[in-house]
Amino acid sequence: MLEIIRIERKRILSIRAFLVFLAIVALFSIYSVYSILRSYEVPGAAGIAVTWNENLSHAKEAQQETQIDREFLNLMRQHEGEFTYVDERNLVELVAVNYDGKSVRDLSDEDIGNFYLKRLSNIRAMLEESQVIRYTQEEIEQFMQSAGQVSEIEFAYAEGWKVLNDGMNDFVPVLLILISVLLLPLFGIDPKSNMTELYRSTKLGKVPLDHARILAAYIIGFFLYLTGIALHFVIKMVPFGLKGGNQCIQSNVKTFFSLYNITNLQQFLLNVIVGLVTLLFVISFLLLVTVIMEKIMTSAVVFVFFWILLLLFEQMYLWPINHYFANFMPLRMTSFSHYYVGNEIYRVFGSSLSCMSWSVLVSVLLSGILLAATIGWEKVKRKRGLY
Amino acid sequence: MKNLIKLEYKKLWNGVSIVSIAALSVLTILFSVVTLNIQQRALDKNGNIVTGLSAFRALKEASEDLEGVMDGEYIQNLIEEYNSSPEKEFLDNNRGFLGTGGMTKYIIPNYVINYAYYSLYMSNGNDMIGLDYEFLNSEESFYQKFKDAIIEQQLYVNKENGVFQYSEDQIEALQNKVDHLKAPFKVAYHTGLANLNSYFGMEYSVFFIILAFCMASVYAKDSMNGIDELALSSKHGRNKDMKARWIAGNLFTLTAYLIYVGVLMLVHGMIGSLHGLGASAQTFWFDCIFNISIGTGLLLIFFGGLAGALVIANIVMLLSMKIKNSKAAVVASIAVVMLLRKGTDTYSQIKLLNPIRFGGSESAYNFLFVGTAIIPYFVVVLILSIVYVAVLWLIMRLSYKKYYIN
Repeated sequence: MLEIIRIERKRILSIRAFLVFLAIVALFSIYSVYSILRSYEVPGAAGIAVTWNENLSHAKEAQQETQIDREFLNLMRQHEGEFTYVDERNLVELVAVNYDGKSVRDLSDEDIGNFYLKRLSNIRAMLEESQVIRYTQEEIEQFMQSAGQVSEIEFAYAEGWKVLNDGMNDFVPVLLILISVLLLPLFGIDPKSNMTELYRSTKLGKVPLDHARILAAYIIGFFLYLTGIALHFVIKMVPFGLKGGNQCIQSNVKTFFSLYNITNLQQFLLNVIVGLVTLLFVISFLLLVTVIMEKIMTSAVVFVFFWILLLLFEQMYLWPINHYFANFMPLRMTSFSHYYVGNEIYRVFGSSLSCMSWSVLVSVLLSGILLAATIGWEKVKRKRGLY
Repeated sequence: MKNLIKLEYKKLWNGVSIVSIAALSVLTILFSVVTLNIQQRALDKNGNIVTGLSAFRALKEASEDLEGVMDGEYIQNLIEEYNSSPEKEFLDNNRGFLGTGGMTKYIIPNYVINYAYYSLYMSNGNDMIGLDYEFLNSEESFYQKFKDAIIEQQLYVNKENGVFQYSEDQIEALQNKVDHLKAPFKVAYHTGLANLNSYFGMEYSVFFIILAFCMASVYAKDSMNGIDELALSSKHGRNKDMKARWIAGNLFTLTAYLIYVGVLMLVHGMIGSLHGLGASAQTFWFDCIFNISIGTGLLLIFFGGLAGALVIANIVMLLSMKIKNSKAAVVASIAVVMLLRKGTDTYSQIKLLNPIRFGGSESAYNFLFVGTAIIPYFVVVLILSIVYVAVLWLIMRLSYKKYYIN
């Protein structure tokens, strides 16, 4: 079996294919970093007033073990001149989302004293005024308890982690599609090669080959996924540095109202794990499609249209579709940000489950069903003597 | 030659193309039915809320009494009826409840009137549906205000996004064109057509993915219906066969496009109906300066879409010839489509030269100036498509002469 897996691995993932894969991941990551770094440049009257490097260096120096507290907010309120650098702008944005667009300079002493209480009251208002889910009082209290655990937000430098976690929404779907393209020829047949009859008539060409191919798909998929993530991580973090991994995600304006008391590093690891579960689904789906359609190109058509359908649904952003369908599908599963700020729940057998937990559970279940269908389909084909 | 084209055309109808077109049809039906069923709500003729797909039929039925010519009498009756209607009361008390615009029978005539007031700031909000305007006192003052609104919007768009700023003479020509707009407008329920236009716009790029899969094998050497040694070594293989493949490829694109548009029309005809084809274009595309109906506008959009599809099909065929590997050509073609699509993410009117935009609503109402002559964008689309296809054809002809299997 191991020998067959090894041969199958060699067949679909040659050194050349692997290098092309790495090159695409690297190019995507470099382009992504380049675009982000440009957003750190501060324009001036005569071109760029502050380069991204100066901006990040300023933030690294200014944001040393700072907490968002009365003293810090007071200091920022007295700040003279423009809020130019990223560390200053980060705070301005946090204050704006917490105080309905208010500037730091306009904060009263009372506002400053109630920074964390204001955050909690905003979260409560969001939960109570939600248009899509009517939370029970018990659920709201549970959420508020969780949100209340963040009683102090460290405001040190963590740009690398913020950029990394925000960018995973775009990177992971691309990675999954790339892996799927490489896995297509596992079961997909190239009509010009005419080798099927030959290898199917050999001693190990039926059940062992099918099982080896299925195993190979998951092994290669996981290997490529982890390699891709590692390469992306390195490229993304090089210009920013690793500082800020243990900072809570509420220091990021996008996850300021998150209920979860987790760090940037934990958020990244959660994203990687959810991405891995999604990969499981994607591979299972791909296997079923290629086993049914047989030919590479026809399988690719079905696979591409499946992604297009998800993309169209994502553009429409209709809550019932997301809640009952898209949340368990690859595209929305890898739109990680909604797990942390969406506050979406599923009520299952009398208990409330977070969107992340339930999506992962359903996705694993669906992957199992798809895999069983693949194995079943192959069995039927063998029994009917189709090969 | 005719037989050769027939043969090549038949070869294009293989497993990949059939699955592709079937997948696009399923996607078109599923996407339209699911999304429209979820998000639509309307007030029927009795003032009751109807949800789901039946909301469109209820709205059509309710809109029957508002169908007609928007003259002075129509406007006065409309004001009287609207001010005492359950729809007005409902929208006053439920801001945004029926979606942003509120699916009431008044969304068509009232929005036309509100455009005259709001011009470029017009949206489909519930706050832009009222009829309390002085200019409604007479038909003349309403149409004058409406024409002024068009000019205001056109000048603003040109100032902000225009490649070249209009000269005084051009503004005068524009004013003259708008002054000659046929009034009063014909008003009719056209929500089904609006859906057709909107979903066509959303899914138009997906059709190019079909083309990438179906046409990438035309000149590839690794495909069952591609090029092989036999074809190349035969007497007319290099010349006639190449032409036949090109013609067959374009014919296939035309057929596939007709199927796609046909499915789309069938779905939206069944959901929201294709009623309102004869209504004035200005009741849908408010700033349209041409005297056309909505039906003509949609026809122009579909023809523009076909022109864009032919350009993309030729790009895919060229890539197939250059790369020779059908799978790599598919990937390259999809990448080209995505890049072209990315190129349209701009407010600048330079995007109108992009074939991806040829199937956009602009074909119905947009225009460009050549000197002081107003050229409809649809004509520009046709000319550009001919130029693009001709250039691609020339490159293909040159490339084919040097085409070798190894």
